[in-house]
Amino acid sequence: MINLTELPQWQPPWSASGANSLIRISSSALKKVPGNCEVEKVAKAHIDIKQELKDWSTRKDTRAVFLLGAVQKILALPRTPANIDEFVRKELGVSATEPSIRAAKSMVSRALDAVEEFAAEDLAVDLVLTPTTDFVCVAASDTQRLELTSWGVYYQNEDKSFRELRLFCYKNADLTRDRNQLVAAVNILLNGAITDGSPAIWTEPYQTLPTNPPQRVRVRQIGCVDGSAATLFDGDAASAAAFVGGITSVVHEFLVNTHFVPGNSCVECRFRVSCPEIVKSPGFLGLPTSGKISKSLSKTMLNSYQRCNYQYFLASVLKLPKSEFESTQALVRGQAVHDWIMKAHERQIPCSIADLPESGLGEIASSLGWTQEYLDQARSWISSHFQVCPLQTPNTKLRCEESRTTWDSDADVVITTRADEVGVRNEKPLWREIKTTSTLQQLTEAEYLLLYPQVAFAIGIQADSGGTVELEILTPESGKVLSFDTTDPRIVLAARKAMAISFDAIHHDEEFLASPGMACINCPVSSWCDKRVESANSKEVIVEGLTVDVVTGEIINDQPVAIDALARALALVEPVDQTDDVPF
Amino acid sequence: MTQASSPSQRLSPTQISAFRKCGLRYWFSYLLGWREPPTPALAAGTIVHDTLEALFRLPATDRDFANAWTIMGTIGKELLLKPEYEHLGRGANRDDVRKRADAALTGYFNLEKPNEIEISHADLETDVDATLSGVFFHGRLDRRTRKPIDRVTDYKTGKKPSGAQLDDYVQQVMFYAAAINNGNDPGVEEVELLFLPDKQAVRRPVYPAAISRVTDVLMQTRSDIDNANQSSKWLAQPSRLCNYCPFKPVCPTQQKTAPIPGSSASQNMLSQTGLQRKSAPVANENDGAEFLPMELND
Repeated sequence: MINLTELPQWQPPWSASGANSLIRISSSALKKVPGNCEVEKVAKAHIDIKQELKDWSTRKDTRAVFLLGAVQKILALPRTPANIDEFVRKELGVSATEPSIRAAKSMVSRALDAVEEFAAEDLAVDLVLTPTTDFVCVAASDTQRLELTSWGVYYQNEDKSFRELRLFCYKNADLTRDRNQLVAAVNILLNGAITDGSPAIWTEPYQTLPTNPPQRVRVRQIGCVDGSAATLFDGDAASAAAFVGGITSVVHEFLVNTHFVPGNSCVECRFRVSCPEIVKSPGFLGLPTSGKISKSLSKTMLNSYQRCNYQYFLASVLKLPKSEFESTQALVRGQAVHDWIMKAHERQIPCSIADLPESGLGEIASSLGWTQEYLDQARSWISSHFQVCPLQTPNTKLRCEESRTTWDSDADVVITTRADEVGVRNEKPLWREIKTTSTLQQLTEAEYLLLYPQVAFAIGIQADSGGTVELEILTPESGKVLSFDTTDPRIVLAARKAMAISFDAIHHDEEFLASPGMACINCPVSSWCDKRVESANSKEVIVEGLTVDVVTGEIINDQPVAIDALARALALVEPVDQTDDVPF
Repeated sequence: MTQASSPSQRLSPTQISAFRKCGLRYWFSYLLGWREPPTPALAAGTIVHDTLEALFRLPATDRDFANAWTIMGTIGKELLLKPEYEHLGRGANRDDVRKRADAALTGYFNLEKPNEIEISHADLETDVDATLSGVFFHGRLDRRTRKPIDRVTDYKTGKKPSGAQLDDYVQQVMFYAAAINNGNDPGVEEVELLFLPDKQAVRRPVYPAAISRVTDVLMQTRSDIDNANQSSKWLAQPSRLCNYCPFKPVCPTQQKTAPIPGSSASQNMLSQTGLQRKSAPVANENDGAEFLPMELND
C-alpha cells in the first residue's frame, strides 16, 4: 500500500494556487519515456493545483481521434458487437477520417484476436474472465487523497478472486515493459478497489465499492498494431505483494522529479505558458497568422510534408501508427558520416587524416563498433571533413546532438530540432549543421536556408545571443563551410523569411492533398492511407525535373533548378520520423 | 427610411477589417456614416501617432524623450480643444487620455532609439495607393524605414492581442507591403507592429505566400462588399466583439426588439446613444427592410 506520510508535497515550479488535496497518478505517467516531460506529468497529477496564468489549451484538429479508445471500449464490452465497422465509426465520431477508421478497425481486429487467444488459454485451465469497471488504488488522509489508476480493460473471474488488467501498446507487447508502470498496475489490482465508473467531473474523486482482496493478479499487454501479446505479471497475492513492495518509493520518485524535457510534446502541455524551461519566442517563425490548430514541427515533419502533404497529415496530425522501413544508401551513409564526426569531436581535438587509415578501421570507427564495409561507404565524405573540421579553429569547444525547442506563441507552434554541434568559439556561441551530398549545388545563402531550414532555425535561436551558425557541406570530393553572422539583421531576416516560406504551407494547410507515387515508397503510414499507389519498380524517379535515385537516395542533377523543387526532391531522400509510441 | 451611401471604390485596411468582422457594422459605419464619439483610447492614439510623426521630422540628434514629451503636450492640448474631443478635455476622461498617451510614449522609447533611425520625411504618414489584382487599395502608413531593412511600421497604442486579433493587425500592415511592393522587387522586406504600452515589437518577413494571401483577402472583400451592396444584405456576424460594438443597441442579433437597421427608429436610437453621423449619405435605391442580417432575413 502507498504510505501517504512518506510522500513529499509537490511545489509547482511556477506561480500557482490550490492545494495538493487530490493527486491522481496514471501508471503510464510513471513510465519513463525519452522525450516525455516529467514535470508536466507531475503537474497534471495534481488535480487541484491551478497555474496562475490561464491554461494555454491545445487547439486540436478535430479529425485527430483517439484510436485506442475504440479498442478499449470494444474490449470492455461483455460481448463483441456484430458490426465492428459500425461500432468503431460510432466510437471515433463523425469527424474521424477513413484512414483513422481503417487503423482503428485493424487495431480492434488484432486486439480481439489476442483476447480470443487469451480466452482459449484460460479456458484450458478452467478460468473464465469477464470485463469489469476500472479499479483504482486509493490512499487517503484527512487532507489528501492519492489515486493510482491505470488505463486499460479490467477483468475478474466469477468469484472475484482473480483480477486482470490488459494494457495496450502499438507494437512489441513483450518489449515495452517498464517496471514502475508495471508495479503500479499490479498494485492497483492487488490493493485497489473496483469503481462505479469514471468520475463525472474530472476534479471529483473516484467512487469505490467494497471489494475483497484477490488471490491472484495478472497484467497482460496487447500490441494492437502488430498483434503481439504478452503476460507482464502473473502471480498470487503474496508474490504480487512482494512485487509492489516498493510502490511508495516509485510514487515518491515520481513526485520529486524536476526533470523538464522541452520537445514536441510541449504543444500538448497546457502549462507551457508558465513553463520556465521552454523558450518562448512569439513570432519566431515569421508566420503572419496564428493558424487553426496548435502544432509541433521539426525537420522530419517538414520533410514528410514536402514528400506528401497527406503523409504528414496521417503521421503528424492524425498520429496514426507508423511502420518501419529500410533506409536508403544516402541515409545510411549520411548517418555514418554524422556518427563518425560526432564521436571524433568528443575528443575536442581537430580531426585529421590519421584518424582514417587507408586500411583498417582506425580509432573512431573501432570505438563505434563498425565493420570495414560500413566505414568504406562513408570514407570519402569523412575525408572531406578534415579540410573543414571546426575544431581546427583555435578556442573552439563543441557539444554534439543537443535538442533545442522553441515555442512560437503567436503561431502556437512548437519547433524542435537536434543541433549537430553547438558550443563556443572565442567565447561566442557557435552552432554547426553538417550535410552530406553527392554533388555540391551552387546556391546563394538564402537558397541554402530554404534548402536546410534547420540552419535558418539555428540562426533564429542564436540571434538573441549573437554568434555564428555554420553549415558544413560534405561531398566525396570536398568540404565547404558557409558561415552566417547572427548579429547581422539581414542574415536574421533571411533566416526568418526562409522559415516562414518553409512552414507557411504546412501551417495554413487544411486539405493535405496526397501526392501518390514516389512518396508512397517507404511511407510510414501507407498501411492506413486510402490514396496510396503501389510503387513502380523504377530505380529512378523524376521530381519536378530532378532525377532521384530511389535506391541510393541521391539527387542526380547537373543543371540549375528552382530551390523549392530541390527542397521537395531532397525531402524524398531525407529521413522520415520513425519513432512511434502510443501518444499518451 | 435612411438612405445609405455606396461602398467606397477604394478599400483601406481598416475597412477590410471592419467588413470581415461584421458586415452590418461595416454598413452602419461606412455606408450610413455613423461614428462613435472619440474615446480616450482613440484620442491617445491620435496624439501619440502625431507626436511620433513630428518627432521624426526633427533632426536625429533632437529625437529624445524630452522633446517628444513637449511635442506631445502641445499636440494633446490642441486636440482636446477641438469640438469633437471636448468631452475628453476634462476630469477623469482627460486623465485617462494622458495616462494612455504617457504609457504609449514611454513604451515607445523602451522599444527603440529614434535618434538611431534613418528615415526620410517622405516616408512618414504617407498615403499608399495601389491597384492589386484590379482592386483599388488606399491606406495611410505610419512609417517606412529602408535601412538596414526595408520595413513598414504601424504604431499600436493598445496592448498586444493574441490569436485572430493579432492576425488581423498583421494582415493590415501586410496590405501596405503588398501595395508598395506591387511589382517592385525587392521592396518592403518586413512588416512591423509596435505595441507601445506593452513595449513589444511584432515583426514578420514579407514573402510571396504572405503577399498572395492578403491580395486574395483584398479581392474577396471587394467582391463580398459589392455582392452585399447589390443584394442589400449586410450579414451580421455575432461574436464576443459585439460587447464592444457601438451598434449593439440597434443590432437585430443582439436585441430581439431592435428596429429595422436604417429605419428612422434605428437612426434615432443611434443618435440617442451619442453616435454621430459623419457625412450625409449618397442617395441609394435600397429598401431598408433588406438591411436585415441574412439569418434574420431568411
